[in-house]
Amino acid sequence: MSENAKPEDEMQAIEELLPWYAAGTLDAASARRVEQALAHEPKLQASLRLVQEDRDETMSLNQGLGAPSGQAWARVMAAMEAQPRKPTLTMRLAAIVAWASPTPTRLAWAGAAAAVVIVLQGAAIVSLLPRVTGPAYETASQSSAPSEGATVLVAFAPDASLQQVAALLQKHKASIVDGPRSGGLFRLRVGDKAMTKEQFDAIVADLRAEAIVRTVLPSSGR
Amino acid sequence: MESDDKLISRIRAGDNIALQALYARHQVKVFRFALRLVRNEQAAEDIVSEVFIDVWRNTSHFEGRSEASTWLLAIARNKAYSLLRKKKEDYLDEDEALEIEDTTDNPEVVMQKKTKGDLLRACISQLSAEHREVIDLVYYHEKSVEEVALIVGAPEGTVKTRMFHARKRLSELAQKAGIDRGWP
Repeated sequence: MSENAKPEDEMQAIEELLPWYAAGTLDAASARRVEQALAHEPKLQASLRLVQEDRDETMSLNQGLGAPSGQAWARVMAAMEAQPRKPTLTMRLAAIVAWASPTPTRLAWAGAAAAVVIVLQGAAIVSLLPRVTGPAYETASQSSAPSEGATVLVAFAPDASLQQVAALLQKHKASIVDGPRSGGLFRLRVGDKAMTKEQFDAIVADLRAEAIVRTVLPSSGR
Repeated sequence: MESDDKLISRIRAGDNIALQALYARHQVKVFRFALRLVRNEQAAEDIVSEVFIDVWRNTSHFEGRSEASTWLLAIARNKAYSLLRKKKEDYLDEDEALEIEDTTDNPEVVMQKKTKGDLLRACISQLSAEHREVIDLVYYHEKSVEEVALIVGAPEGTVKTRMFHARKRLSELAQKAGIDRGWP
């Protein structure tokens, strides 16, 4: 109780908190405040018993109400089919990474929508990306092999197209190693031979200047 | 189990399987909340569909400041109240429509029910929509003061006062049904 509060005001305040106390949804400090008052106030103890009775009957009433029929979900599905959502660029790139290197972890991340993208568009999307033999599109499973160059973390602009991403990878002799990570970041390997810090900084600056690149960060995998 | 937040991120990216998972997890509670407000199974089922269609179309509106269940119940409440207002608009203003009690089971009919539990449940059902929803949100949906305030769009102080008045009204109805609770 605050120092200036009248005892009757504090009683009323505790009375109003009893339903949440009975439901177990009060924060720890408020719950302690209620418990302290309950310990000394028989009126509050009687109120709590009524509150518990109300809680039990409300639970019982609601639990007897049943559930929606299958029609409710059928209407949701119909609406989804009528208005399919376009997968984001990050989702589509994630699908490619998962498809090219189908480890359980990747597939779990990419999820079912990614799988749908692959089924419908897989071959076409992959053909847009640089080949392993040239400026490489490289998957994580391939990245364990010894490789030159350096790695950076890149997030693409959400409105960029896959064609633009493919062109950027080719231009910078880059490949996607893994991703997406938190913030939609993909790890890219850039260059195909060992490079100095100056050369690396120049590549980072070039990437930052690209219109379809939102973020470029150094990667610990360098 | 994947968290609701993660499911919503996947829905945002167009993953309909994630929406199905979110639906499976919350459909029953959304349905029961809506049913207690509109008192019509078909209307409550329509509300459930509309809530999840809204989620599919407007996932970006979920800011993650509250639990997903709180967000879903708030959407359901808006739809239920729109329906209630529509039903009553010919002869009641908005506030009256929300405060009206259900007299289907009047005190005499309530008294014919057998056990104290039966009587109390009948009295709870008689409360106005405004009182029913706060009682359901606190006891059945186990929402905190802050969460109830978010769902009903009222300050926390108002939520506490409304709950107090709902309890008082419940005791009055119980008294009329022959249960003297000795409170308030």
